[in-house]
Amino acid sequence: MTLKILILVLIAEICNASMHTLFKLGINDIDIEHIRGFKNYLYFMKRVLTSPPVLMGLLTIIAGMGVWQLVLAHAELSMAFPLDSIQYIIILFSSYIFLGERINRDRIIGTVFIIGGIVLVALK
Amino acid sequence: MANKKGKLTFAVFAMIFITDAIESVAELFFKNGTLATGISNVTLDNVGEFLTRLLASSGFWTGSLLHATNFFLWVAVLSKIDLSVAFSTGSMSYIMVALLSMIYLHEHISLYRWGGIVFIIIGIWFISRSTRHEEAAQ
Repeated sequence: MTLKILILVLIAEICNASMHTLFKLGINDIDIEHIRGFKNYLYFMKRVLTSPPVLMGLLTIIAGMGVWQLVLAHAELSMAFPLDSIQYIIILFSSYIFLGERINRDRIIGTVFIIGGIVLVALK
Repeated sequence: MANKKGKLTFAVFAMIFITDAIESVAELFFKNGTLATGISNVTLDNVGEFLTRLLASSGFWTGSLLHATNFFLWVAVLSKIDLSVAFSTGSMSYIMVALLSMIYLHEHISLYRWGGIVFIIIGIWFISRSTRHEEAAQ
């Protein structure tokens, strides 16, 4: 795998992690306890689609998708998949730093197992 | 800011399972779209041509439509549980892709891959355990 693809994959992953963090940031701001029924869901979606962080998240994913299409166009795709596991680390940190989620021991152990699992699955 | 955290219940798990399944299919369509361009090596010279052909492919638009559908489901998931729980649980897509390629593409699953699948299952079990003190969202 060339350095160029490696950098492209990393940019795509950072875009993707930013999108998820921005979505959650926007959703946390919506004062709705639990979604009950379709009408309630429509109100929730209206709030989601007018939330500035969510809209910013949509912009980052358009950028990320563009970069990802460039990655897909290269043949060495199977080499890029183990790198996908980096996202789980980025999300764990961004959830803690930007979303104030309480990361306990079980969540860290679970994430480490998942990262190991993805690398093993991707190795074939 | 209300931090929405809840237990990883079966209902939420099932919702994540569906978003994962849709995303796996979307990836296949995207790959089809890039193959349809007939350009296997994108450089600065042909990137414009590549994007024009990509936007003309049905694979790209079908994949985008599936991703858009997923958005409506995923935000509902995020309204119920922590991002660090939802995202990690989404790793079951790797198990799905491995099993689907075994069943439909008759791909061989190596011992490494089976090991990876077991690791991911253990990981998701720990993630679910990390939410056991939270309340279950309805």
